[in-house]
Amino acid sequence: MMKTKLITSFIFTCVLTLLAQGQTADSIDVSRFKAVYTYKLNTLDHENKPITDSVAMVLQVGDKVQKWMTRSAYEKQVHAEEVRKIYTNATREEIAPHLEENAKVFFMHIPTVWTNFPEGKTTTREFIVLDKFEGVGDTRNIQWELSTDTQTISGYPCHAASAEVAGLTWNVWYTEEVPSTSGPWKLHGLPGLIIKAEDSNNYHSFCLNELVMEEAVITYPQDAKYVKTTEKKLIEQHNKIFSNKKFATNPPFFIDHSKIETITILSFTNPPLMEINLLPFCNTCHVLREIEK
Amino acid sequence: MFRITSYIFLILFTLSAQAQVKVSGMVNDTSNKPVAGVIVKMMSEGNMLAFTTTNSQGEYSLETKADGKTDVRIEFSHISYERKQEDIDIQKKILKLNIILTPKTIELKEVKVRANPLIQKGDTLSYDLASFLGKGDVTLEDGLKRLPGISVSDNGSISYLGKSISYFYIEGLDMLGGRYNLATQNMPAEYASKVEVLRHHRARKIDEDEESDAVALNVKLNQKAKFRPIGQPVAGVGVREENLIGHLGLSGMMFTDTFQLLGVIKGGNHGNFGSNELYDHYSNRPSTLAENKLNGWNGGRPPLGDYRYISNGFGTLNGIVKLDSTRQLRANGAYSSEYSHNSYSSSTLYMADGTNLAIGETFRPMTRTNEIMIEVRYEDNNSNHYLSENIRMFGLLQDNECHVTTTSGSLSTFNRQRRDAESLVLQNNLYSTIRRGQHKLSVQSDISFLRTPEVMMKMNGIHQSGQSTEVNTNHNTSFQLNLSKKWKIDLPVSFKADYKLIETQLLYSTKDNNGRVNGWSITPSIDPSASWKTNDNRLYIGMGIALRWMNLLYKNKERRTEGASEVLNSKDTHMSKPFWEPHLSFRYTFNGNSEIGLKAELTNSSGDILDLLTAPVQTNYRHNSVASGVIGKNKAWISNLSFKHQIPFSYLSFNAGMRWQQGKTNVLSSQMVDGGSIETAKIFRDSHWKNGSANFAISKNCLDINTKLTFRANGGWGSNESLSQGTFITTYSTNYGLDGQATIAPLSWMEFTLDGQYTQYFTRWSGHNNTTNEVRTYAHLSFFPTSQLEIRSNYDYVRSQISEDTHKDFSLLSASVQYKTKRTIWKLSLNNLLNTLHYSYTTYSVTDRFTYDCNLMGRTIMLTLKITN
Repeated sequence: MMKTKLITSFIFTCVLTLLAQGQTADSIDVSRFKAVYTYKLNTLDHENKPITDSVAMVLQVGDKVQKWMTRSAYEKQVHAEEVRKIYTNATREEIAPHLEENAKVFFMHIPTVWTNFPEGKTTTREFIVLDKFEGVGDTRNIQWELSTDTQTISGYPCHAASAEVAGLTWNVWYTEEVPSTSGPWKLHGLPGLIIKAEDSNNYHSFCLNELVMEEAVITYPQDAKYVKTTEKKLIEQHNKIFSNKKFATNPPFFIDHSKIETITILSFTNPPLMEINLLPFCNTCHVLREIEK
Repeated sequence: MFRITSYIFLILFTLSAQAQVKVSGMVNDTSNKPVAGVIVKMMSEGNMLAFTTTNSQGEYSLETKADGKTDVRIEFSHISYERKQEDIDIQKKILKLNIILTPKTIELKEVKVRANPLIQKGDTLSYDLASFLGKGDVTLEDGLKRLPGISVSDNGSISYLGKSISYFYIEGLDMLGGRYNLATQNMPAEYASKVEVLRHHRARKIDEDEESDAVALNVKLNQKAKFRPIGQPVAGVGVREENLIGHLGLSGMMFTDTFQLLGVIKGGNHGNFGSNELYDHYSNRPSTLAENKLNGWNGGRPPLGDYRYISNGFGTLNGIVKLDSTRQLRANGAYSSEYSHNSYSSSTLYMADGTNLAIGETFRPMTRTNEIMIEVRYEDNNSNHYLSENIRMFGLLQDNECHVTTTSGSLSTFNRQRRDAESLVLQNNLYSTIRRGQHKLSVQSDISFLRTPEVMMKMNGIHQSGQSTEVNTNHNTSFQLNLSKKWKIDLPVSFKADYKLIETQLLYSTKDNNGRVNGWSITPSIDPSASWKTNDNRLYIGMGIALRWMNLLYKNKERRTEGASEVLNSKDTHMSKPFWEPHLSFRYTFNGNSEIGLKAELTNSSGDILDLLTAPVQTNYRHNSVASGVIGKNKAWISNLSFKHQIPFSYLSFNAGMRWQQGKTNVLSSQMVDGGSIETAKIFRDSHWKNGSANFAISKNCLDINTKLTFRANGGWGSNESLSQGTFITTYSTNYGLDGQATIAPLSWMEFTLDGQYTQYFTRWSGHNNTTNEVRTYAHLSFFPTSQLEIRSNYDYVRSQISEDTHKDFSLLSASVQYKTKRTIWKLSLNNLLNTLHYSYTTYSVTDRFTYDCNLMGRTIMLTLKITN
């Protein structure tokens, strides 16, 4: 019982620490609207069985900058106080789904992306095993091929377009009713918001499920622990580590043990998770489907 | 030369320059601050010629070719500003256009996104049913037919990649067992939110580590279908062949997290209204010895068209209660009553003494059946222990008539046939497993009691009767040792003991033939087996040898009297023989979507007590059957190879299979035709048989155009030995079939289905050849003038070979209009509009050819109302 309390208290401390990091973040823009997408990834688990991973992602669109992150990261950034209340008053059973949602970043290898920040550049942050990386590169000028195909999705009249982006062919539907050139992940540059996007391999798909007018700060947290590199090198490192066959079956193999500061075992989640240096981790992972090369 | 070239370049340059239009400028807000991210589009006649966005200084530049374009304008749009547009004159090649945008408050539409059509998680495929439904679909069965890889047969049987499902769950609860037609044919499609296909399914949690190739279906319900009673009355009235027809029905259901209830009561005189809803896809009522030996006459079923005039009624109530997270209690009850009649004629060509004997017959079968079924099942399904107790009771009362007019040459005779039968079946099945560490111990006990007090048959002046009693018990204990994660050993021991009794009496003129066979069949057996699988479960190999020691102790008494003379025969049959039966299974999973499997086994079986019934039995007015008096022994080698492949996210599935069987039996089937009479018997002589078959099916859904494409092919070959008119013959048969089906809805207001099938059969024996072929096409066309209204027509065309140079054409046309409101479904059906009254087809059995001409029901008009809530 004592052990349980200790672990729970430790989790609260970790979450509060993360929240505290969010509070000191620098504001870089104010959003005009928020688009929530469902990101679905068709891949294989550590036993090579097909699995569909799914997570809610948020796109904050400001006049200058767009930020792409998981919904749980967004909640911590924008609704920090509410999240703090949930974590401090919740039981293990109530916390478990939130922790499992956080862990999607680990299983699906999801980065946080700022488009047009700094101006004309795209900034990507992610952690690879226990290392934090930040890659910066020119914002891609995507050569979209516009189609005359139309259909109504979620009540919005949409047009089809396709383009090759960093090695994958993307088929998207965008709506001119929302006059924004933004879109999920690093997809952008159409004369309307991208409502739905699928790659031609049917591995990755993004589908809009919520669109809200919301003025909220778009943050770029200052964190010296992020190793600065180019976007190209970050993608190379991401693909090199995560596409290693051993990573899906045995991620701990890739840990540099000298870098471990804290470990929390979360046996009550499904699957059993852990947090190493406050980052979600698991003894198995899912196979990488490269989204860019 | 240089001048000419320069001139050409100059013209081209000028033309090119004429085609280019360049527009640039700045976009500011009302306070004269530049606005970044404004979408600037050049439009002409509704088409976008070019687009760009403003940079951080509010600057933009657009360049495009605009040859011959008129009404060109520039549109400016931004999420925070009013949309603005300006017409431009494209004759001016370079334009400067500065714009001031006015801020606005915008409201975004609420977004409701349809769920992903398919989600895969390991062995589970989860279909969002609404993504696949057609506009005219009403029932859950209509929806299931649309799903990739799933097929639903005419009797409602559901299969995935060619394998029939073994479990049908609603919200994870198995309320109906094999009678799942009650749900699929009564539940509205819109009540189901998701349909999950569970491959490699293990119904018992304690078997999570067991190899399984079972497929299950789980239907997840919408919130509106849960936690409230749902009732659906249905009524119909119509006219067929100048007679009034109608039906009435009510289905009610309720689904909560811990309780489910489904009741249906239906009745009418409208053909097949609800007639297969009580069909059990897993296990039908077991038939008794007397029923098997003294069969009824319900022949003449054509492959297509309504042919039986049925008045029927049934009521069923099914419920399941989830007592806690592991324990469930289920009860099912059903009563049905059916009266049916139909008519058909047949022309049979027998090979008799080297010449062909033709017999023409006209049949008028009539059957009145009353059946009752009650089942109670308790289950405790825990990962460490399992217990199930199942009690079932079946009762049957049946009257059957089949008067036959026979024509042989110029002679025509009328024959009366009548049969009454009643049966009772009681079954109890107990199954328990406990786990201790890595080991499992299972105990299974099955007991059944089958009783037919009397079957009475009267065929002209012939009286045939019979009765039978059976008590069958099977007790099985299995101990499973998990040696490691890879190795497993099973040590099942079973004891099977059956008591059987059958008595028959044949009275004909002054002859009285009585037969009685009774005795025990006792079979202890062990089946040690071992299995090995890789850590990642990709490769599985299982093998074992079953050793069965079969002991038969039967007594046969026969009394034949003719006038004053009486002959008594009595014989005891003792057989004690061990059999060994090796079996092997292999599976390799390439990935979660492709696998190959092989199963091979040697099986031994013996004939049953009916082999010893040497007293003659009359099964119809001209067919007398005599058993050999020898217990038949059959040995067969059976092997199955299957390959399954699915690409779920391309909605593509493929399956292929091959099957080979060969065996030997110690008795040979014999047939003697003498005039109009047939005598079949088994004689004591070895005979061999072989057969092989192959099949494949591919199915693809194109969701963008609401299309499902399916193609199937199958082929088979076989040989069989028999005795015909005292001559030993070997019969070879070959068949193949092709079936292509497309259901397409390219436009929102139209849908059509096209199905083409071709089948061909060859039989060959002693220099004789027979061939039949059949082409069958089915087409359906639906129009949806509004989303509620469906106008539909169905057309069937069949061309079948009747004899070597004769083919018959057959067409059926029907139409319907269906109108759906929020609470009602109205349907006006017009069946058999062409008033096609006959269907002809030919089959072969060894050396004999049977050509049937079935009478069909005539033109029918029916108006049906179904109320939903």
